[in-house]
Amino acid sequence: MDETRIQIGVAVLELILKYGLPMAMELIQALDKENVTADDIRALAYRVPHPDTYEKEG
Amino acid sequence: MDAKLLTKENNMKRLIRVNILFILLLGLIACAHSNFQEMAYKALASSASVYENGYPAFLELHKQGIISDAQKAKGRDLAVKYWAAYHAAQEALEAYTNYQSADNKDKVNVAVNEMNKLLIDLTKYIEPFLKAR
Repeated sequence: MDETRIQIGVAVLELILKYGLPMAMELIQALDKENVTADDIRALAYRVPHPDTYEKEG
Repeated sequence: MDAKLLTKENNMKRLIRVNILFILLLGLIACAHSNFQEMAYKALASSASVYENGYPAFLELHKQGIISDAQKAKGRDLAVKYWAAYHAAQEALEAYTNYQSADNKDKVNVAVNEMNKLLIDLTKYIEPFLKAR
């Protein structure tokens, strides 16, 4: 296990203690996507608009 | 406070709580799955959900006059950094998908770690404002 994974693991444990495992597990199951395709990865480019976009829309 | 405003406020609180849990999710996914491409995809997708829910809620507080222009400007700066890191990570992952070399894999790792760090910076900044409501 590399250092990054250890750091993530510690952060995860802290967050579980703070917010509870059941809700966390619910989200994990919801995002348990399988068979990620190249199209799925390309589609990520259309998410996360620039922060100023929200103000123009609003 | 009328029922509509109360509902909006409760939704914001719920959203930020969900946002923190999405960060938790990033870590769990990274640890639990061995498929690198899938892990990176989920890291990006879940971080996008955090941003898409959290940042607009933060802006809403500014519209309501709850946070100052200076506070909003700091939040925007953090959001812009995250936005840039997210797209850098997405491009790195797309490049890795097209050509699965060790070098491209390293670039994805670096980019995703940077994106996660900046998302946590953003979330840590906006969370207290949303919790205070």
